[in-house]
Amino acid sequence: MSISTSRISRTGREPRVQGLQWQTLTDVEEIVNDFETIIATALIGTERQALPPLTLEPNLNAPSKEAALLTAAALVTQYRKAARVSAVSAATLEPSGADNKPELPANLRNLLERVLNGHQELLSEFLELTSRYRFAHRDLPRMLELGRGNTSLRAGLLNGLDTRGRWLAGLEKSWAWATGSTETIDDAVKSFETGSKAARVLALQAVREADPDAARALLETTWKQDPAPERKEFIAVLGTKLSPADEPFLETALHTDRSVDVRDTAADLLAQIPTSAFNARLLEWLRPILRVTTPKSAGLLGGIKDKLGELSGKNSSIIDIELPEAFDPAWAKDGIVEKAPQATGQKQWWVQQMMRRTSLEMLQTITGLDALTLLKNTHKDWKDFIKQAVQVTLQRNPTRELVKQLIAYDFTLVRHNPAALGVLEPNTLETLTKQRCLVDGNSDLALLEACRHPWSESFWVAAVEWVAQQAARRRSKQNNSSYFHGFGAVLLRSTPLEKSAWLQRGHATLPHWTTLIQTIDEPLPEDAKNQWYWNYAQQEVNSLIKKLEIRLELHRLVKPPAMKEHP
Amino acid sequence: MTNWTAATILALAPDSSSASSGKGLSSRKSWLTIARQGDILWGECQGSGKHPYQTRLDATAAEPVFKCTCPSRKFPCKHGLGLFLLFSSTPDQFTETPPPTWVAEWLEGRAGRAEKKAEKAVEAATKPPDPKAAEKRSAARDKKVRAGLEELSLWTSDLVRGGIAGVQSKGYAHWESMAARLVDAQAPTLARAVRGIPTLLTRTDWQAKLLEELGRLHLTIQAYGKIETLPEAVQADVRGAIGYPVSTEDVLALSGTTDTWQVIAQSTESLDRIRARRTWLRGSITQASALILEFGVPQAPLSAGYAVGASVAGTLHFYPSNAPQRAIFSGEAIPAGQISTTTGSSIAANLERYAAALGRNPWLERTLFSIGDTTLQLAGLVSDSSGLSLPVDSRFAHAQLWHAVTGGHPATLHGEWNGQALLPLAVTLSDEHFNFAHLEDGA
Repeated sequence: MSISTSRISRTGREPRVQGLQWQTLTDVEEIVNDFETIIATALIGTERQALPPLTLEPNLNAPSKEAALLTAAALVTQYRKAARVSAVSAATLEPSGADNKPELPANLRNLLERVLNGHQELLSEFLELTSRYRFAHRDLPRMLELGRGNTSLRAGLLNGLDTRGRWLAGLEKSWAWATGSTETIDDAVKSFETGSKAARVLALQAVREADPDAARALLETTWKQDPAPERKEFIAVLGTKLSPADEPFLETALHTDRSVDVRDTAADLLAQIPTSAFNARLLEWLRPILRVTTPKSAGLLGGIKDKLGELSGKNSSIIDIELPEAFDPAWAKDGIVEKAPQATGQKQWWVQQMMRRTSLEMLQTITGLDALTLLKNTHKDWKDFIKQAVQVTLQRNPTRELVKQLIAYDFTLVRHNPAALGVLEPNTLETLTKQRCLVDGNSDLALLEACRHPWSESFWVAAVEWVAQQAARRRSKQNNSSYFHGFGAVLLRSTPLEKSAWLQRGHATLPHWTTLIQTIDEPLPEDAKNQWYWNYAQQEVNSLIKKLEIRLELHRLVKPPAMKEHP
Repeated sequence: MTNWTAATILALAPDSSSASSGKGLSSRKSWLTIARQGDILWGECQGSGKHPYQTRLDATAAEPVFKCTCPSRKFPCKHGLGLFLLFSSTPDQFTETPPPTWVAEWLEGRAGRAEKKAEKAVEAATKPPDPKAAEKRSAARDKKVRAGLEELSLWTSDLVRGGIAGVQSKGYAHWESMAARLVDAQAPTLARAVRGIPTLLTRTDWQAKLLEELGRLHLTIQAYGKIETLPEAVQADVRGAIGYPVSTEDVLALSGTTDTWQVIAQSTESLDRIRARRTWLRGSITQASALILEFGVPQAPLSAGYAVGASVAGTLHFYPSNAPQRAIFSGEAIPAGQISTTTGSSIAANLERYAAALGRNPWLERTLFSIGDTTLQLAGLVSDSSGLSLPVDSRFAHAQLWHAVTGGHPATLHGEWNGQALLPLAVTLSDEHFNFAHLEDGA
């Protein structure tokens, strides 16, 4: 049984879409026609219709109608397979240009592999130290994929992509972050114009991050037609990279929009622009409401006492809230609602709405008092508004002085605010952390996490020893049935390279830590209730030691050969 | 032994996670002890258990043998790979010593088993064959097959007589009972084809697929009906299409082809309850292509196999066929370095060769295509320098990787062609033979 293919002319043709799926391969016309004839006959059945003569096999010899059809199917199937020729492809991919950097050497590639397998905290350090190399070509897809999901790594990853990597990124939409082209913005604009509600919000957000003015202009193109729920979400996007340039648009929205939600969001945003006319109006309204009085003590002795207090920096001024008598119609224009909800006094309600959007700076301008006095001497009904204004300031623009005052007054105001703690001088922060955090029985890492400055040696020793004690407590049955985790990342970040060995192998200055790592692999009895807590601590310590080892290796490998201490 | 490089070692990894874990264990620090005696290596690695894992590796032959006490069911495990990688990068760290007991015992055990195997082979060879009994057996099988094919013939005729318009509504039992009959008739390959029909019927182009399958079944029935009139090599292909087993002794008894074989590509596929691995080789001198087929149970490891990108010297014996392709090695293949360069021809020439092979053996399922100056287009096509192109198999999941390693520049591509689409398996770059297949997990 041999099949002659020579009788079938082989000509490359444009791909055709037939009833059968030929994909892009072109088939010889006779085969296509014959095969369609066979299928048509088979569908009806040879009982009703015999197979008509085929072009390729006009003289089929078969004992029955069924055998004739099956034989034809067998032959034409083989013809199809054998005679299939390829289409001429028009699209050609422009190849990549040459790279500029040398490839990562093999030992660094192996190390990168280890970093990517469970030690990703070290990735940005790795990328920074190896920026004079490019990634191996085969690693490019995964590195581009990494950057897709993790924006903070992008700058470092870009260094290693080189020409080939950027070229590759151009082939895949989701890797557009690496091409440096404006294609993403164009895509986003398109998506904003045609996408679903959620897609439009995302698209607008992307444009806003790249070009705030363009985003606002884009928003205005459809603003009049967009329904209220959309408008509310879109206007909230302006909170990213908010600037005075946004004020006219926000004012218009505040004063003319039909939706309460949109007006409310516009007011929130205007309040965040310090120079806005909205804030100026708010300030004027609050000026007669917030009144400062300084009570005078009775008699001569009292006067001396007051004077002494004043000299020692104590301010006894009291903030009184003078509720307005009538509702000013101008307020309504700026989003203040006249009718109070149940269980709230009408006049109180008006002032609450104003206080909600004040900043600490505005309160200080009106009262002439510092933050501490405001907090101390405001009536408890209104104190939460002051605290809120303080939190906003801490978030946006904390000053060292303010933070120190607040710590002295009420530590809980700053405890979980790393941005605020970050403005302190390193030694102040270290002293504070030692006092407040590194005490026995406290396992809160918040303060230690906020210590992002280079640690002094004594502080580092104290912190390591405290961590060791806390971790070791998870082993003893009687106390602490709670998790203690997150310390690994803090110590990894704050341990100087030359101290790594102390953590890896223990050191005389770190007795608790040394004991901990010597016994870290000891399991607890099977039935111990604190099994899980101890396992977590074990894993974290072991993982930290491994990460330190990888980091040491990294630094050793990237060191220029001339500086090697032990060749 | 010195021919092993990190790339060829990693090609032995059963999946990408093993490969990367292996790399993680390829530093001296990961090992408590390491040592060697010649090409036999061993080491102890502290895992999560109480006792360190004992890893042993014999790299004397082309197919390295691994053994490890870890509980992993992957083979070779990450410890074996790690030890091998460590050795390939820094062999000086391995001190030459006599093996400790746990290594010696393993070597003895292996030697013992090999001896027993050889004894059995000798026993089988010296046993006087009983030609009469063999003839009787083959006559009985022939009778069974003929009866089965007759039934199949009636069944296919019935299908096309009534028309195939309504077959999609036929229950599973309709196909399954015919398949079961063919199993009884000792025609397992045909049984598998019939069992596969319900799957074909779910496709949009089911009419064409069904007729192709019926045509192929008909061809087999017709050919077996006059098998005694066919040339011997064609007879072998017909028997293969039915599912006659071929014993390796018979294959090894045929004359072999000695060459240095390049291990060009490898693919793994799960068939019902069986894992099949295809290794494609090409002779450096003869330019002959050969396919080594191995089977295993899912999850259970296949042997470590030949590393893609390596060359091995040995004698291959081809299974009888009118278009010989499948082969086995007689004796052990000796490692012979790395592939430095491969050759490929145009798409037109590859198709021409395929058509010729199909003409000789119409049951040919797939063949190796090596296409020179190939680029992968974004539309899922591969093109050669003439501009002709072939569709890429939808199972190919490494288009991005291909673009990454080639940069869009032409390279020599090796892949499997099944008459419909091309499954890329490896590309030869200027300095490396790059293998896609080993990156696939599990399979």
